[in-house]
Amino acid sequence: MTVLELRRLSSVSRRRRPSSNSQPGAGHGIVQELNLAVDEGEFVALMGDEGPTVLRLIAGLEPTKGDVLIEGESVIRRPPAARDLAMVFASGALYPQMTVQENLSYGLKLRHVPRAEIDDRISLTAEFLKLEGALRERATTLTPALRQRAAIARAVVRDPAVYLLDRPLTGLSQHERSELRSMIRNLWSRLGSATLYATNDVEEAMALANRLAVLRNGAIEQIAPPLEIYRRPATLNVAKAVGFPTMNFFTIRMDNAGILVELAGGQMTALASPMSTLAERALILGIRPEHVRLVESPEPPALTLKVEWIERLGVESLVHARLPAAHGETLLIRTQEATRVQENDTIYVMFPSELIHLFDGQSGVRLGPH
Amino acid sequence: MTVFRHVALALAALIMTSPFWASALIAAIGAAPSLAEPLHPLPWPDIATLRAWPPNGADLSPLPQTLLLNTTIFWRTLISLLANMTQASINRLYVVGLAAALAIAVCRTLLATLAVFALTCFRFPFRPIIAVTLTLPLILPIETRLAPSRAWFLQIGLVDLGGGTIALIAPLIESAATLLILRRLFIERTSETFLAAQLDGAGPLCIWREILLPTSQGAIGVLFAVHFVCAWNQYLWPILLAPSQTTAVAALPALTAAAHHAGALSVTSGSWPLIFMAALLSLIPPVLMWLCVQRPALRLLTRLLTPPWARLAGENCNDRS
Repeated sequence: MTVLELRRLSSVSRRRRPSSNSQPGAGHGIVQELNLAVDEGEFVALMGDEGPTVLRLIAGLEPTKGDVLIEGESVIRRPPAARDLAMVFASGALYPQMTVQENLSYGLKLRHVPRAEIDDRISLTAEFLKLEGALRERATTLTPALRQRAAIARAVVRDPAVYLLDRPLTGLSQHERSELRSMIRNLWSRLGSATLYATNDVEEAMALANRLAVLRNGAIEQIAPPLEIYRRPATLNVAKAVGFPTMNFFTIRMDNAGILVELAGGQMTALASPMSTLAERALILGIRPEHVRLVESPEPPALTLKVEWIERLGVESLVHARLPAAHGETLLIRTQEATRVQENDTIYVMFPSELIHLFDGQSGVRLGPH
Repeated sequence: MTVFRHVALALAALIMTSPFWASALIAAIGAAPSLAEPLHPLPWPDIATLRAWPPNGADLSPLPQTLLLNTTIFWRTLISLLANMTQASINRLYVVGLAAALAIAVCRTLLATLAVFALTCFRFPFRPIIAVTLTLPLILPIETRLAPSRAWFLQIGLVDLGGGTIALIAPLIESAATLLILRRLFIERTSETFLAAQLDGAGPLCIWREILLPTSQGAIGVLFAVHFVCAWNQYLWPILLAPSQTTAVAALPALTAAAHHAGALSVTSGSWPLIFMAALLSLIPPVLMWLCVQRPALRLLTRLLTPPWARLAGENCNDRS
């Protein structure tokens, strides 16, 4: 069942707001005619600057055009509190002078929920988010990890139809993030509400979401399950946004048969299956760092590269290599087999043709393989 | 270096407190049994009277002969003044002054927080114009507004309303500088917390009372103290009002009253210790007020003086109150 539906949702403001003090580096984009439907139990991640704005528009915290439907009813004329949704903010936005317990119960008290039920809901939520020890603490004394957990708990105790999570893992260490991520995963598997999750972190989006929406220029550029987007990014921008480290891109020319590919550096590589329809077009070839394969010999279709530097990350390494031409492009390789490779070595690599992505040089639209 | 700093600080403290010490010394010269006349504000003096000050035969304050305080005489003067409170009308000066200063400070703080809250958190038509209008008094200092205010108050008959208290308070209840200071604090405090409260279903006044005021306690307390001291020291307006309210209204500090008194009425030299004792007594409320808000005042100052880029380093803006 569709719980949340957005119809041509747009910001009224035409100005991008600069980032606020509490959120350095995170400006809010403008939303233009965005359509989206979220089913019950679905967890949709929004990637891009517009994500936080979309959430604020849905919540009714900014002037809006278009329509927002929650459980089939238009809520666009209702005040934020009457929309049956709860939001988690990047800064936590806890009421600083209150204890965690008071923070959690504030919204429920204003809605005249009976005292006993408030206590029940709080103790249940606190148990899930491991907040029992912190309930009596004042919000200002909390560590960032506890603060964000309390902010999530404040939304969860409300038990709304729609959750809006605005970068809730901001400001946490990697360890804390992965811990909170699994808590969210765990908790949401029981909640079954519709959730929108704004983030700029690919890992978060991939790990949590059922569907991933990549936003650009105020609208959705592609929406699909995360792995689908990872495998078949619909455009160049989506390919750039999803995946870490970012995909390698080369401007290429293809021969008439659609088999031989010439990189800007002059080197040739070959495709296993011909793509004759793409011949004679300006193309961009993309290959993810983890899909580049190291080979032993320079025989075509292998490319010859020179290693510039290597980041050794334990089990795997990031090899930064360069095509030897005058202005050779760089190539990033993520591999577990680079233990013997040294800086300034010459290496040979191959692009497995089923793992490359071809985009139109002008529009950036994906052309193949399908 | 540390020694130098301490010496410099001690010297500065000495210089700053020397007027009070001098007052105490004069108060300890030797007391007359009573004040000849009650201390109350005089009618607005004309230029000729001011030019003619001190009038012939006026007894200027005697200079103390020593820098050491004769505590016995000091206490005796104090007791003598307290005994003469009613006759010298100092108790009335105190009560009216205190009430007016408190009322002005409360009004200023409350109105400013409400106005800034409305301006920073809500969208409504003509918001920028209203904001600019509210800060216009900054370029119209209170002194320039007094004469027209008085004329207008007389015209609409407000001068005598409520024993003159309304007229005493009304022109002083807005403070544009406070708006500017609070605006900066509120913008930082409210952004996402304010949105969260809206989502929780809190109404505007509820947010103002339960979230904004408690989180800005320190800053609001400091501003309250500043306004209290300003209002306590506000002498022009009460003097200006005085002609129609010679007895009821008198918020001016005792020192000012005494100076006018001495100038115009040639107080006998025996009254000077009492007058200076009254002046010292008039310092108590502002000093107490400042002692109360010392810590939050320091925090507010450092906060206002810290440039935004330096604050980015602190990760949670809600941490400091």
